[in-house]
Amino acid sequence: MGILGSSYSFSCFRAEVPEGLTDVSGWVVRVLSTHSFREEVEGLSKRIGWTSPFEPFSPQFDVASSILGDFAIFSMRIDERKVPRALLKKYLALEELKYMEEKGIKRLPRLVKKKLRERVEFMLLQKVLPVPTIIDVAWDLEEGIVYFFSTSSKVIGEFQGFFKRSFEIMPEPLIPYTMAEGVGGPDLLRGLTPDSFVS
Amino acid sequence: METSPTERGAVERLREMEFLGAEFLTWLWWRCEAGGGLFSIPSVGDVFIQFVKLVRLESGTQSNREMVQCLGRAAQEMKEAKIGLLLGKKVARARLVIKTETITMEVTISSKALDFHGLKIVSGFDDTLEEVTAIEGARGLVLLKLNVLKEARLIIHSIFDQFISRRLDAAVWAREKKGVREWILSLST
Repeated sequence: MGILGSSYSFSCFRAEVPEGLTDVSGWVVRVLSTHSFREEVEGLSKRIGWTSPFEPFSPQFDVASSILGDFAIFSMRIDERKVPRALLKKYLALEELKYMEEKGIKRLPRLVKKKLRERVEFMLLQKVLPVPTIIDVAWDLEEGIVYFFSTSSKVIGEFQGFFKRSFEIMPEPLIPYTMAEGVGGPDLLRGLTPDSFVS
Repeated sequence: METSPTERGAVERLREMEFLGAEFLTWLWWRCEAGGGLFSIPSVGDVFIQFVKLVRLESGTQSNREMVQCLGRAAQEMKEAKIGLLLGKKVARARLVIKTETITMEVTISSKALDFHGLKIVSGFDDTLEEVTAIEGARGLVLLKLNVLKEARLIIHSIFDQFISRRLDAAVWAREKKGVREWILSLST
């Protein structure tokens, strides 16, 4: 559940706003606008973009409303179309049969098989509706901390990549290792091994 | 996506250091039970922390991992979890109650990433405050809640910093470790 819920699960990242920016809010709004979610383009199995946590499915992202106090709040929207395996198997088998009959052959060359698979998958992708996933983000611009409302490592990877592409800043996860490095520096951590409390 | 040798090295290093989170949560349980659970957090104030309802302990690495999970009304009742400590297991996941001067919240923390799961504000949240109602619609409420989440993060990360400063100082850590060991051994009596 995201920002609007009553129970929150989130991961934290360090992402400092670039130094020397005179209008931080304006910069965030511009980047969000450039990389906002655009409704699907034919043929793509996955689309990703920023949207509003308040109206994630609205075609118009009111980016100005994403600034709230010290925070920039927005959502990462991923629309993904997936062709069910069974469906792909069925239509691929039909296409293969048709091709072999037309050519009068009994076995398909590997390359043809691959091309048929790509064609069938593309054709089916156009008929499958994309499933949206919305994950909220709150970026404390003052502290340089991002709250990402998911703890799934797969989604976190998508988020880090898209955030980097958008803002040109790689959000660094605040996990025990990076936090320890922040306190002690890499030299003190070198050679540190697990300790036992009972032996 | 292919990873470069540098990236693979970094991932391995992250994995190697995952134990820090488990040592932290185990140390925190000791501080909460044997030390009263009171912490002084910069820019927040005095904070009281208590382990409640859920504790998961683990030992070993990925291939030979052993796990015990206990669900109880209070940490004091989690006898099997405490036996796990005696067997050398460490805390991998714990449900905590965090009380500040104004707010009480409950959250589950995992040792691997120190991420926050199922954070709930239990009491002390006033959604009629002027600074909330002054902002239209849901946005005011969101801002107030974000400030609570920020406080939760500050508290956990600040206590982790306190832990890691001790962990990286051999003399101080020897004393802390002795305290944790004595507490764990006392659980068997």
